[in-house]
Amino acid sequence: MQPTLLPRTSAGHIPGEAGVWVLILGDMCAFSAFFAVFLVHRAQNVALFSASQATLERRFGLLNTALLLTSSLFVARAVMAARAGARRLSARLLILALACGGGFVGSKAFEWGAKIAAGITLNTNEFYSFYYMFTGIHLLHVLIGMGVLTYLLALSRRGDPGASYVAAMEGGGAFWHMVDLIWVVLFALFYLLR
Amino acid sequence: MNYRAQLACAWIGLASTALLFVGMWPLMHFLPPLDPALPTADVAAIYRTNGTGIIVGGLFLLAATSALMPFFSAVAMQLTRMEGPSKLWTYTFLTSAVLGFVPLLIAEMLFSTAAYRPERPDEIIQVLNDFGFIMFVGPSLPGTVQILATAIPVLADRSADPIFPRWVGYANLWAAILVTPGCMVTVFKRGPFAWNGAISFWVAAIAFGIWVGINFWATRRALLRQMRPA
Repeated sequence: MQPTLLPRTSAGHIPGEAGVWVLILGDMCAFSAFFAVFLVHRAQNVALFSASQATLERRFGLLNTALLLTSSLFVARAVMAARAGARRLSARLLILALACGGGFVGSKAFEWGAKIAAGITLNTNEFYSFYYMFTGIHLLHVLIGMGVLTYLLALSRRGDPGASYVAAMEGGGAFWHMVDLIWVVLFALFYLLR
Repeated sequence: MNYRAQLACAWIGLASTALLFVGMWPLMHFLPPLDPALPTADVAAIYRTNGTGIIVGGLFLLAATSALMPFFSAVAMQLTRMEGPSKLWTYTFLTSAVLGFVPLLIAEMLFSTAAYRPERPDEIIQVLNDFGFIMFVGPSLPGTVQILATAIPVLADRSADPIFPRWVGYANLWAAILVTPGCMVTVFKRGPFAWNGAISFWVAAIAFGIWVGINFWATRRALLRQMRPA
């Protein structure tokens, strides 16, 4: 990806409207607090957390990560296309991003389904409480993000998307990248941390 | 227009949130909330030793939750200005405010009932305590809807000089997400999602406090602008 493809509107450009960053940074602060709570509980019972972690399917985690990273790439390209005025291309890229998001939701249902079938539920132990709750709250964010992407798709297809179109694409795109970023940290904490 | 009365109602919101805190903390000793994993006898002992504090603190909660309604009406007055002829989100805001705060009132009555006859068997006191805290923290979803109903008209207000700044809309979305996990309290007896948990109680309580503060500020700001001679 060449950085020259990203035209800047001014030296101090904030992607999207400034207000959306209150939500994005606020949400990231909240998730940081969640992760701190997780690490404190983990430190009190490392053996249990490690033993439980070993039962998670890393393939699912990796697949989820790949899906979200790919979807982020599509969203980034869609924003670039929007800036260049290529709205049809934007729409197509957003559909691909949404497909990745749908794949994420599907694989999560599969992963949870297998765990529940194995008798592992919310209260099996502390690790699984965190696992279901945090991945659940994140999944909620994915669903909200897919709603945002659908709105952007509708906007891209509209005859006249309005003056704030590019800002909407940037703001919605930034939200999707945040959802992606939080997953990468969740993946590291739940599937990889030793 | 009765701008001064609206301004007073906005201030009442701030005052009632403080009242909520006074009732919960120094009087009821419910900050932090009682541990759901506490043995039955210990729960009963707390109601027997601090019965009066719990009952009087409960009256503070009753006053605070009641006084929040004029505050919500003051916010709703601004929402309805943003909305124009359709009152969709204003109605949603007000009805969910009632739905969300009735459980708080019931929780207060349950705590008081537990303290009312401390000679009752331990198990009965524990049931009332459980019911009280589940009522207090659990019904978070009307709050989510109420906060979303604040965010939507703020963000839909596309005028050049919006009534609430747009970041207030996004801050509301943020608060809506953070108050939501409270609904999980019936699933857990310990950990961050129990009724005394870091996430379901503390994060939600702090987000609610910030939410009241931000909407108080935005409502006051909008009212002062309305009161300014044109």
